[in-house]
Amino acid sequence: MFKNLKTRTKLFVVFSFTVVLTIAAVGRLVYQTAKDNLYKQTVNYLNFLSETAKTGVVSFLEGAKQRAVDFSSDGFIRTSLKQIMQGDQKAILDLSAHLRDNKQSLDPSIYNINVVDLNGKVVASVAADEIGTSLLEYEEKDYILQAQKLSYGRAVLSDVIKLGRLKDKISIAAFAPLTDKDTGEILGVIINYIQAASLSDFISSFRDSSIAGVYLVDSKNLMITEPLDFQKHLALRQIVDNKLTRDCKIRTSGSVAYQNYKGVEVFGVSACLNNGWTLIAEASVAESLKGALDIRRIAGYAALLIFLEIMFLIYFIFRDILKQKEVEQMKTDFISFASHQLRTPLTIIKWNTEMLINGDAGELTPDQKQRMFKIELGEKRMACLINSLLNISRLESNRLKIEPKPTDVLLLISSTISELVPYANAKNCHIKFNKPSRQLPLINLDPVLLKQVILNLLGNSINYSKPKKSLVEVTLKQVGRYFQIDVADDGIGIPAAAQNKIFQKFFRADNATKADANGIGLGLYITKLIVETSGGKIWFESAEEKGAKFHIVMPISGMSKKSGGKEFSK
Amino acid sequence: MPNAKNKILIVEDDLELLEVLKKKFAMEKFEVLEAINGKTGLVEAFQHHPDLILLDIVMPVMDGMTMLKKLRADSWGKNVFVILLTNLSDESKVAEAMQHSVFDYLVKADWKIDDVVKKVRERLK
Repeated sequence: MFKNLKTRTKLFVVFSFTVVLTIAAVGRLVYQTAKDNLYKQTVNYLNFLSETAKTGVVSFLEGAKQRAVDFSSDGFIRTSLKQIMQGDQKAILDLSAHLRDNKQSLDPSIYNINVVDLNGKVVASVAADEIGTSLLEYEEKDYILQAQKLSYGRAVLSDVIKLGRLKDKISIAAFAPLTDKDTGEILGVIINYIQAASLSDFISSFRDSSIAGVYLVDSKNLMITEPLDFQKHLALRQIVDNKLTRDCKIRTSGSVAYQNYKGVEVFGVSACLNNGWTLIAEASVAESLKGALDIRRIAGYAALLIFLEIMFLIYFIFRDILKQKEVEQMKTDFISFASHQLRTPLTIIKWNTEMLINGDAGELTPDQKQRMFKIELGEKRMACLINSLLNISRLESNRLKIEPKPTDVLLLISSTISELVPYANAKNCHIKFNKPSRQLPLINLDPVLLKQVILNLLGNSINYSKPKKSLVEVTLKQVGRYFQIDVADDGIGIPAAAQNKIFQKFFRADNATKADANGIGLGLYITKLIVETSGGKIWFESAEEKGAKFHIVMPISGMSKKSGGKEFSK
Repeated sequence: MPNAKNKILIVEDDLELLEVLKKKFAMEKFEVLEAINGKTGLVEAFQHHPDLILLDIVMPVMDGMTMLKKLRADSWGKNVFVILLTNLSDESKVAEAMQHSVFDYLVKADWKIDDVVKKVRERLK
């Protein structure tokens, strides 16, 4: 289908698709640039957030450790432990009360404090039912053993521990050694239990609406905190094993896009803690790139909209072209049909008149013969009008057959002048032919069409000459790559007011109508159509009562052949 | 002068045109057969074997091109002289007619009736 289209239409279609593709490409480029920028902005923001959160978390955890160290320096606690170890039962109650009333109350995030002896047995506790329990059987064991090896004034922090014996409390615990005030000998360990939820709440303060999560992952890849519904869903137990947590094992922070434990595509940025923990700040890819996705969507809609508009435009153009062709075909068919219908009665008149004039039905009187000649003349004028209309129809619809052949233009003009000499003489008009100084080459043109042009122009000049003796000059010359024919007369001329209309169909100037009532106003219109169809130009100069000078130029290269159309009707 | 035995068949649906042609050719000593459409034209042609057929194109019942095709399909009809006589100056019709060995194609309005007679005579020489 595409190859059947005209070049202009093909170019239009190609241009339209190019516009759409350009919009799509520019949209894609803008989207990619916006996406890259938003990604950088997001990562920068997450870096800032994770580093800020890390500072806070480190401070929080150091605070927890420091609190344990502070408690380990409490003289009452150390003395009481020594007394308990020596069998003082009352000291157990006193120390437990001291831990609850004077220590736990200092920090609401601490929900329990245990004091254990060197065997890991709880000897005093805020939670009374803990007393007597051996913690070496629980998750605290490793940390107690580590703490027993620490020097005074230091503490160790646990990973996350879930204490089933304490109603599934999820905790982080700080362990500090308790030493004899006098000898410095290690007597036991004090353990502060901090609810992990406190740390979660603390980290939550670093969230904002666009961040999918800020959370801690401990050295065993266990998620410590999760901002929402931390306790309810025990997301704590989520194992987070990705590039960020693996890199943090070697203290390397980074950023990467991945699917998080909720199945959401996120950008993640890590900040590594010295204890092997990883603080991760995440932002949803969809939320972060929303602006870029909006651009892509808008560009997509714009390209689609323009594509649809172009398609509609093409549809309407093709529809109009088809409609126009249909109308042209109907017009041509109508004219063809009408010409047939008009020509038939004319032929009846023509042939019967001819037979009567020839005496086929008996000799006519001179007067009868004269009247028959008038009928014949009327028939000829009518036939001429029908032929003109047919020619106009063919020229206007570009269906005129053009058959160029090498033509001697000078000879063609001479013979056309010869044909018109009797008519010119009858009008007391002399025709002068100014031949070119140099002979023109044979020019490839349709002699029938060129002859019609010369006949029309020369015929007008003779027809509209003044009654007195007049002169019509025909000049042929070569002007560069064109040949020019001028037809000049000293006749009635063209009034100024009529000059912009004389090439219009059926137009006749008033002075022309007065001079010759029989004209139909189609000669110059046809002449112009023929000249322009042949790639030439026509123009004139004139003033009323001062004659007219018509010029036509046509290319030396000649006319282009056009077959398949209809011949010019003479 | 044509041979007195020269018969021409005029196939023309317009009765006035048919009349004037009939009269002219009769005056010119032709034996004239007539038909008002392609169908009766075929009957006349096959029955009387005219020397030449003047054939109109646009006609009711059966048009001239259809009659021409049927004529050319016949062993006698394939060689009979045919001159198309019409007022349709349609190039495609000319091309189609030429495929069926039409002697000439005359646009009625462009021809004097005397010249039509001359054309027929030329063909029958």
